[in-house]
Amino acid sequence: MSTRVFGRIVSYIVLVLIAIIGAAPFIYLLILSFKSRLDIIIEVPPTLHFNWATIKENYSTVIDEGHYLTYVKNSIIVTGIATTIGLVLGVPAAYAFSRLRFRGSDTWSSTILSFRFMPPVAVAIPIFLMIHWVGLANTATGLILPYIAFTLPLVVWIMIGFFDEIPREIDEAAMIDGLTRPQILFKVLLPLVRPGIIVAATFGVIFIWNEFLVGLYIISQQDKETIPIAASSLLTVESPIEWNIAATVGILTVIPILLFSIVVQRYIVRGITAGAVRQ
Amino acid sequence: MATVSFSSIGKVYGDGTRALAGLSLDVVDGEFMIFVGPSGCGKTTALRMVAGLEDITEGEIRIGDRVVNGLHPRKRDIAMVFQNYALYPHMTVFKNIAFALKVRKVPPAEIRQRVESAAKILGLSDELERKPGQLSGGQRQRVAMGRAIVRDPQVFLMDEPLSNLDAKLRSQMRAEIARVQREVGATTIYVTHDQVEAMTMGDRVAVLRKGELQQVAEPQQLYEHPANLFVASFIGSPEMNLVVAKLEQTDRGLRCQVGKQVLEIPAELARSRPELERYVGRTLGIGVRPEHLEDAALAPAASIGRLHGRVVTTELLGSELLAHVEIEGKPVLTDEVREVLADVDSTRITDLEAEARDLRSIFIGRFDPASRARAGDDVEIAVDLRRLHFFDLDTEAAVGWDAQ
Repeated sequence: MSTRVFGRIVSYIVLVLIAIIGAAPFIYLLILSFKSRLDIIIEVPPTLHFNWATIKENYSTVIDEGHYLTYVKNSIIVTGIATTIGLVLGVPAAYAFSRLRFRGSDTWSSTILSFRFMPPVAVAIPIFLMIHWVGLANTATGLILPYIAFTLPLVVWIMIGFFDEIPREIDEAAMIDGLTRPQILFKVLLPLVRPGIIVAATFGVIFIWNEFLVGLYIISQQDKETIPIAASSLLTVESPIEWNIAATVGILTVIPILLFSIVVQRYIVRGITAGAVRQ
Repeated sequence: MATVSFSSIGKVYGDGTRALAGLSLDVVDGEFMIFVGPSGCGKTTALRMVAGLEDITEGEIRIGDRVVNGLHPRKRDIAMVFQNYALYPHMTVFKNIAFALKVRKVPPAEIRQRVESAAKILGLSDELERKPGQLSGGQRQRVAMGRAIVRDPQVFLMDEPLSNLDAKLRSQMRAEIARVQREVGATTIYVTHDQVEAMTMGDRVAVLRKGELQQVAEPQQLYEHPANLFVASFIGSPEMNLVVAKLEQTDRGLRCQVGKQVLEIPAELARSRPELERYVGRTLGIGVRPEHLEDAALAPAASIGRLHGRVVTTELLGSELLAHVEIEGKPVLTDEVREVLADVDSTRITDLEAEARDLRSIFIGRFDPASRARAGDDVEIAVDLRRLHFFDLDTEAAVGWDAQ
């Protein structure tokens, strides 16, 4: 056996192990969401024996009685709008940072990133107070504004990297071909940085989808809650915890983001390797 | 078509570095002008100033009758070919070439017709639907050319367009660009630091050094009458042989002493360089091109001086024998010569410094391949004295240049 084949086998074994470790909690969660509360306590470890009626009951408890779809809708609205605005503002900003030399352009680009280093818990209270003062508590807008503030630095930072990868001569050629700066961005560069936009959007979406703390302060009205907040109240109002329901909530929380990730996955991979090949 | 005129152009960057000073030059209508010089000589800066990609700090650039300082690149009616081609990677060849026309709202039928005719000139007709990533280096280069010629601009600007190609393709594209330029007839400024491109492609060549124009002339003129040591050593490959000599007056005329050897200057040459009188009793630099040296055993007798030396190494190239011969005498080692060497290979300076210390010079001669000279042999070199060049070692200018 050649060392090359051997190396391959080893790397496959390692990859499979990593995949198992990564996927195990999720599979466990899925199995738990298919069991009744009693089964979870009795079956250790859980068997792969399922009962359709139990599955239906678990999911119906969460979706129908728990108004789960309302929260999904709230989350999608908040995540979608905040990410979109973050991109609309962040991409041109990153272009400017990458291409234009203005006073303090270098300092500013790192300052912007440093905003992102601040953990949300440090700013949750001030943000809560500000949102209350402007009367946006318990509104989608009240969530969207701070979420834009959180995602914007990330978008700018990621996109600066992608713009920097594109040779300046492309801009110059476009300029000579007759385009103005904004036209260069929209007609020539946007198609080239599309993988970057998708990477930035993914980071933004995942962050906002999971964000809990700031949302918890700003939203206190149940029908305005996003999924993480709703999930926590679904679980904590009941005691002792119903693990089957908790698992079902977990699965339902992950599904939308999982679908999103699967759709954009190929772009993410391409985005990560975009700079590797010189055009 | 238009004339491009530079008048007293200067460029100082934000950090105070000066890239160009007092460049005045007219590139006449339809002319193929080459800007050549080592890295950092300001040639690319000058080109980018014409394109509008670089601000003009001092002076005025005109394209035709218009002063273009402050005019946006898109309003200058120019086209540019970049060193790395700068093709739009997400567009097909057709779209790349058509892009500028589309931006200018040329009707689609006309775009198609113009792109196809440009593609035909460049031999790209079969590649129109491919993307730049699928093309070879030479093809990408042609697309970049196509993007320029399809515009039918007043001025073509080319920034070292061949430097990313391998040697064989480069010589092919050299001929091709020169042909396309003649066919299109647009005024062209071509930046390169390859002196072969400079010699073979242009109508005229402008040699720049440290932001200053050294000489503008037709290639042959530049080769035969370099204005100073910099041009003399920069143009020509192998370089001009340069050695320090002492000029003496004897009753038979002028003669140069190189080390312990003597070269008589033909009366005809002395008459055509009256300024040489001023150097009698002083040292100056003399230069002789490799092709004006020959193995004395094979040389005809007319106007010939002799130098003895020892062959260090030979390169037999079939059509000629390049003989590196060490002779006694101090090599010319001025700032200008150093700079040319540094641009080629920095170790050459150390070699030359060692040679200067030991008072020995390496002369490279293009000998007839029939020459028997081999490494280690003592050899007598025949020098065509009519083709000697003389340089002032202080000003570094060619003797008599100021008078012209």
